[in-house]
Order: sequence, then C-alpha cells, then structure tokens
Amino acid sequence: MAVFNAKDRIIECKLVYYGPGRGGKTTNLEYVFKAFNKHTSAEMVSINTQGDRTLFFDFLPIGLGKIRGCDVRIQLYTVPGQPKYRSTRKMVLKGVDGVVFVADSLEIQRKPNVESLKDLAENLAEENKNVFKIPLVMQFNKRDLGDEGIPIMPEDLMNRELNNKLKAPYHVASALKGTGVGATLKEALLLTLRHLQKELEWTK
Amino acid sequence: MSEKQHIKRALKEAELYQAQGLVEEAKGRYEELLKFIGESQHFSNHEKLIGAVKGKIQALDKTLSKIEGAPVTLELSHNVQDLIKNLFTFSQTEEAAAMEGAVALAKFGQFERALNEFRSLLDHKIMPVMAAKNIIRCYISMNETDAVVSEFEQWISRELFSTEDLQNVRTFIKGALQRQGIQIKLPEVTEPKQPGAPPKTRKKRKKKEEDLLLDISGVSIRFDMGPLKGQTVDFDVDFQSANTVSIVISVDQRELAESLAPGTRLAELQCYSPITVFRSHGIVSGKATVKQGPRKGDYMVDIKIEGE
Repeated sequence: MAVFNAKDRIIECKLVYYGPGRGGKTTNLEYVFKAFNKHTSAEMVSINTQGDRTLFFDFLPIGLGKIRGCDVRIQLYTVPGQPKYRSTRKMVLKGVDGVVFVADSLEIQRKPNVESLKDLAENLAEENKNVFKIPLVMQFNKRDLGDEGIPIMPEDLMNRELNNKLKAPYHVASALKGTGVGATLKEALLLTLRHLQKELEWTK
Repeated sequence: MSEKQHIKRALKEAELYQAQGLVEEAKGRYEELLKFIGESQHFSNHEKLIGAVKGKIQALDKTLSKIEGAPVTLELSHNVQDLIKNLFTFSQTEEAAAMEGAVALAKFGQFERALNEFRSLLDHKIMPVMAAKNIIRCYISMNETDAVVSEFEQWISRELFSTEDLQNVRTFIKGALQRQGIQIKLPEVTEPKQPGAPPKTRKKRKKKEEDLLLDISGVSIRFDMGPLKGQTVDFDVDFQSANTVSIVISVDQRELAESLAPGTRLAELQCYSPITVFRSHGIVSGKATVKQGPRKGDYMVDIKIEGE
C-alpha cells in the first residue's frame, strides 16, 4: 500500500516481482542493484537457501529522486517461486502497488508459468485486489537460451497463453545479461505511479 | 537428427537445466536419455554411456535430497528480523503495529523472536487474547505441543485473563490441536473464587482493545455461481481465528470443495453464533488438505468473514 506524505512530499510504493521458481526474479533485482546503483539507497537483502532458491523474499529499496516535486521511493520485492511457499508469497504481496510477472521462456516451464499466474490472481484476490486492475507488466525472461539451442517458447505463444486476457504490456528479457530488465522496471514504475496518481493525486 | 546428435542435444539441455537450478527437469531429461540409449544397443560405448548418464542422475538425486532436506525456515540475523518487522507492519497505532510485527516474524518462521514479542505484548496486556493465540500457533508450528499445555497452565495460574478469555483461548487451543490430529487433555478453566478478580475495569479496557468478534459456530453459504448455483449449504465451524472461520469438507464432496477455491467471493453468508444469527459476506482465504488425524484427506477451507 503506497504511502503518501503530503507534508514532506514523499511517496513510497511497493513493486513485487512474481513468477515461477527459478524464473529469474532475483536475477532481475540483482541486475537492477548493480546497474542502477546511483538510485539504490541501501544494500539488497536476499534470503536464500540451498541452490540459491529464494526462501523468503529479496528486498531492494530504490529512490527515483524528485518527480513533480515529490520524492519518489520504491520498494522492490521478489517472492519465492516454489509452490510450497504460498503463505510467504501472500505475505509479501500485502500492500502491493504494482507487479512484474517474470515468466520463464523455457518450454519445460510452460505449466509452472500458468500455475504461478493463477496463484498470483488468487493471492491478489485475497488482498481485495484484481489481477486485471493492478498495474502489471509481463516479462518473458531467458530469451537468450534459444540461441544455445535450448527449446524455448515463441514470444507470441507466451503472450497468447499468459497475457491473452490480461493484455498487460510485456518485455522480452535476459535478466542474466541485463537485456530488458530496465525496460520492464521502467514500464512497471510508470504504470504504478500513474495508477497511484489517480488514487492519491500525489503530483498535485 | 542422427542418434548421436539427439544424445548431444539431450545432454546439453539437461546440463543447462541443471545450471538453471531446474534440478528435477534436468533429471527428467537424463532419464529420457537413459531410456533412449537403452533402446539403441548398437553404440560401441553403450555401457560407458549408460554408466555416465546414471552417474549424472545419481548426482542430481543427491542435490535434490539436499534441497528437500534444507530447512524450511532459517534463523535470521537480528537485523534481518528487524527489517521483516519493519517491512510487514502497516498499522498506524503502536499497539497494532507491535502485534503485526510479531505476527510477521512468526509467519517468516522466526518463532523464538516472535514468541518473545508476543510474551512482551501479553505482559503489557496489549491484545492479550490475540497474543496468547499467536503464542500457541508458534508452538504448534515448532511441534512443541507440550509447551502449549504448560504455557496454558501458566496463564491459568497467573490470572492474566478473565475466565471468559481463558475459555476462549482454551477453545482455540483445542481446535488448533485437533487440526493437527493431536488429542491432549487441557486443564479446565474454572470461575475464580473471588469474583472481583480480575478487576472489571481491566476487562472492559481489554475488550475495547481487541476486536469484539463473535464466536461463530456455523455458516450457511448460498452459492451464486458455479455448479452449485442457487443452492445453500450449511457447515459447522471447526475452528475460528479472529474473523476467519475454518470448515471441513469431506474428500467425497469434491464438487463442493472445488466451488470454494481460494479467492472465491461469498456474497451471501449466514453466520450462527450462540447469541445471534447474522447475514454477512466473505472470501475464501485458503484451502488445504488435512494431513493428519481422523479427517486426513478432507479439505480444510478458511473463510474470511468481511462484515455484517
């Protein structure tokens, strides 16, 4: 839930990276941390376990500086993607303002992508939020693996399968190389801040 | 594609899945390859190939058991625990925020610290019933059922609660243990000999602080969509935590259970409490399969009651 301090002109909001396990959510945040270090106000907190799986969440606060006279602060989170960590995902989604859904382009991850998106919709509903209404950007990650001869899903198939009804803006990416990470984040921030402008009128 | 190319490609895929941390998928690919090689016995190095792939599968099995054996929760540093408290506290009032912070710690498996915080809330008489219930939840999550009983005995002897509140906590403990399939005899709560204790004023203040929620013993749900559209089904409430009630649906009533998927909005609810019946609405906030006890295999559905 975004907090707008009208007196000090500060707006703080929360963006969550969601998606199936091992899809590249943490890698997205790690790239943001490295590439946009002038915007990061603190260290990235990452709590993982065996095999670098996210156990709880990753957290990275960033500052966008002044936008229309308002100090804009963003909290970036990832959720643990494995199905068994549903309660942690619900916890991390509390108060979310915008979502980046990181889908894995690998063919073998087709079903986990769909299941994770369904899980997102259900968990948002429990927060009284609607997956069709919340600012949401899709990212089709790991596109580079196609060049290595590994079966990946065509972009339009992923878009049809995951985004046919949502019609969210999407970006292809290779988070490991940084391709598409910035564009995804930029669009998610834009949508979220626009949405919050309607709700909180923070630029007035 | 020649057989040799097929093998090369499968090996490359499996190695990449492994590098991506997709251990089960890598194992699956190696198993497919093992079958393929087994069916094509004309390779000169047939046995060597099979041995190599089997070795890969064994190594992946070890990795998988390491992952599965990794602790579900880790004891985090004090700083990270503070961060969790800070990030997952949304309430404006100090007391509610303190409770939220402690609940967040418990939800992230930081039970020792959470227990300390709940105990502190209890000692300061901040939302004591809720703090007590959360202490019980921590112990149950830690599989320390003996501690549940001894803690409850202490609460009885310390006169921290009114008789009514103690009864409420006792009912909660019984339900919580029952959900785990555990039967333990809990000490009975009796009326104090001196009706003056605890003081009336304290009881009044405490009731104001905590949400005044009715005990709900049953709910009727009228379905307005799906295969049960137009039907009303009655349920006994098995368990209640704040404004969330839990009902159990037999594994045989699959259609009914499927109609109550998490996120389903229930526009027409009738709630029955010992003192009143009221109309409400709610949302299915969770569904799980009962893992132990006499109801093993049945569905446990949580419904968040959202108001009268």
